[in-house]
Amino acid sequence: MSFNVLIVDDSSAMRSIIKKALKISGFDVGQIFEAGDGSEALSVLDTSWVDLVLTDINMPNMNGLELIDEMKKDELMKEIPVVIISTEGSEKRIKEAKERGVKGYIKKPFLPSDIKNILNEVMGVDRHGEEKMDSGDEEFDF
Amino acid sequence: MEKKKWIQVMKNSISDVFEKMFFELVQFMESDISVQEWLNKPDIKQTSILITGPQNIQFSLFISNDALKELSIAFLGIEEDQLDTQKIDDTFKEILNMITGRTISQLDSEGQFHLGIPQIETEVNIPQDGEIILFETEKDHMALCITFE
Repeated sequence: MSFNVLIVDDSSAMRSIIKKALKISGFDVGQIFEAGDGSEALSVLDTSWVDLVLTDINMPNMNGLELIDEMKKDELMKEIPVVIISTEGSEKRIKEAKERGVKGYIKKPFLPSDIKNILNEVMGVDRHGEEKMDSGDEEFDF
Repeated sequence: MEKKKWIQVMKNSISDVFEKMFFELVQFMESDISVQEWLNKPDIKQTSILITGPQNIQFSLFISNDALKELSIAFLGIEEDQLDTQKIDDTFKEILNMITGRTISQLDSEGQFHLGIPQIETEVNIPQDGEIILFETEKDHMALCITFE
């Protein structure tokens, strides 16, 4: 099964890199959507089927944590797993993200293998690319 | 927090970012020469980011436009004719963002510092009272300046 992914980052260069890393990693990607901040991301989520959101934290207009708060207010959006990809990796930031229900945290700079490992874990896919049967509400260590 | 510690962690972050994202080994230089002399290029660009918190700290990165073009091509995996100023500037800002973000993560476990958004400076302005880190990769000479306000 392939997953539709929304990449949210104010840097178009970083969105390209994440897109490239996703493709190289071997993670089963379907359609890739892009947004430059949290508000744009909400518009994409309103109109497109997205299985996974990868978001930066530090963005103008609406940052990544505010985006997650907005997603939580919507019955459909709140079910979409969110993974943070950010340069901000202090314990406090990670704790804040975890408290908001974020499923994974990837620190920049990253390797394609970091992305694959974390996304497979979040989406409940084993290392052979098969979906795990009991991947529901697991607690992830990040 | 000690300036010396910031500089040491900053150097580790520079190495990590260039090795992971550009596959470039970094060599640091001990030198009394100025950034302008070190870079020795007419087309130097500068990007800066402000970190606010218990102490405000400004970080500025200086790289020549030629080296930036090469870094952007490598970073984005595109051909030279697909490059434009926006892509070069985005790559430049992202390099500084990753270096400073990694540094803060290492030094500030309590999240007291807040990372700003990197900006491209329209005019190169090398802070006189900043701590300078001079380094080189296969691409070119580069410099990073840390100013504790």
